[in-house]
Amino acid sequence: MAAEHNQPHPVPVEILEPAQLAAARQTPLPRRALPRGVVALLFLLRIYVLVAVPLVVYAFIRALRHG
Amino acid sequence: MTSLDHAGSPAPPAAPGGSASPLREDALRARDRLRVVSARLARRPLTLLWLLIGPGVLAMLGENDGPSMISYATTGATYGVGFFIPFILLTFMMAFVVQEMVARLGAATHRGHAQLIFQRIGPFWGYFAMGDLVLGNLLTLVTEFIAIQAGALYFGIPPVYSVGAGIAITIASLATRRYATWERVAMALAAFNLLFVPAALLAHPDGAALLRALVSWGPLPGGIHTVFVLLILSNIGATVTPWMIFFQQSAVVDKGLTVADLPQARLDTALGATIAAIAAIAAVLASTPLFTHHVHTVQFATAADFATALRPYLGHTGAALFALGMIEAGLVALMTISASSAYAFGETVNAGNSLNLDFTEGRRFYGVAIASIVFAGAVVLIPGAPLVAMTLTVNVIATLLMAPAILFLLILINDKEIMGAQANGTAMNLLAGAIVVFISLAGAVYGLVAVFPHLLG
Repeated sequence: MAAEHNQPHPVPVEILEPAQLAAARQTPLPRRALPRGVVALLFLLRIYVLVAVPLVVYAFIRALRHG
Repeated sequence: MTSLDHAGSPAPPAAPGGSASPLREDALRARDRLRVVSARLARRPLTLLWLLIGPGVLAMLGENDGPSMISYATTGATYGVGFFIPFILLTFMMAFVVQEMVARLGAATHRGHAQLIFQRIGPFWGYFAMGDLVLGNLLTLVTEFIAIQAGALYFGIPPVYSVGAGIAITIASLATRRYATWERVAMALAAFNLLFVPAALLAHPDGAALLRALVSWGPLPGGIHTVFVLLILSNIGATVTPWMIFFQQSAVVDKGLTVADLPQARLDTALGATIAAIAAIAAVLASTPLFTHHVHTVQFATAADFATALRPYLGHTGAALFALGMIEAGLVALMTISASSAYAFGETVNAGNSLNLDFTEGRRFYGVAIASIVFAGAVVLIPGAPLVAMTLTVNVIATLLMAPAILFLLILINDKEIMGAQANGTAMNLLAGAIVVFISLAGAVYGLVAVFPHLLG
């Protein structure tokens, strides 16, 4: 085992779970259907962000203008 | 076996071109896993823990970044020892709840957060999530350079040198092209977050008052004032932010953690939260002399002013430790936040996304990390840039972006097709749901106070 540690590129890739291999991780997963309530919540929080962030940017610019 | 293996993930193809030799990324990860398996078989729990810690510690200590430490120092200088000591502990417990779910998601699916959002929730929401991350990360990187610049200024180092050194150290860490090395370099630097502890000891804190504060959540600051609300919310923003979610999940995947490693991953996250909480409370204690001696921090322009103002009370050594702590806080965050941007970009465009990639395979991955820090460094060097105002605004924006980020996390962690037995139970969902509500309300109040500063008097 210790000898294997000293190898520059040992190749025991079988030690990885199949889903851990780089090629397997490139394979897309199927899309899931979200419940309507969850979609509504996503939209609600998105609106919250889209309203709140510009307000904060506005406050930042206003603070700069007022020195 | 992961949940994805059970779900019938396709068998992995061979390396490109049908070559028998594995990809560098797989070979290096396999080497790391061999050590983990050996330690597990030899029943060496401490070695096993040492091999598996990293992503949790780095997410937590990466978030004890420049603006966070300024926030804790302002808290100590404004209110001294009292309500905020247990409150900071509460925010780190909240961070542990969120990041434990992140570690579980990474170990069970072996996929990054951005990748899962795009594939399972869809590109429409994926682009919003990425937009949030890019905005938050770029702005936060700017504030990390502000912290580095301010800490270095205390020692008389001009900004162009400190910013240049920050960029050079971050690029040098990426140049190792090895996740394990990058992680250990970042952890070694992150250990210096504890510089705030000797700085706090030099402030001679009152142990009895500290214990009283922890037990009684007091003394409470008199009334709900704007400053109190701002500090409540900036302390939340100093503990949980979206980049931590993206970073820790991708790091768990890059490190190769599996479901069998979850006990150690939880310990890693708990250890990170504990060390970060100790450093945060130390920063509060170190700056308490400013509260005791009625030194107002309102007129402070930079963190260098904090160190200078603390020198009469902590001595030159204490003030220097404080300034060095600021440099460390910024530097570690530069490494972790730029890595989170690179991981998320690679996952979004389905390109290579590992710190084990060489430069040819990972040119876009490393390119994003390097471009983001060079951009942020350049912004800080713009003459007359409103750096302190930027820090405050970045904290506000990070807090606002956190609620949707946790909702994405909750959707994924409850997805039984990818999580299997590792999906959330009812208690965890209630706890995480309460955090979403709390952070949303806090963010809304923070936004209101930022827009209408005289709302609460």
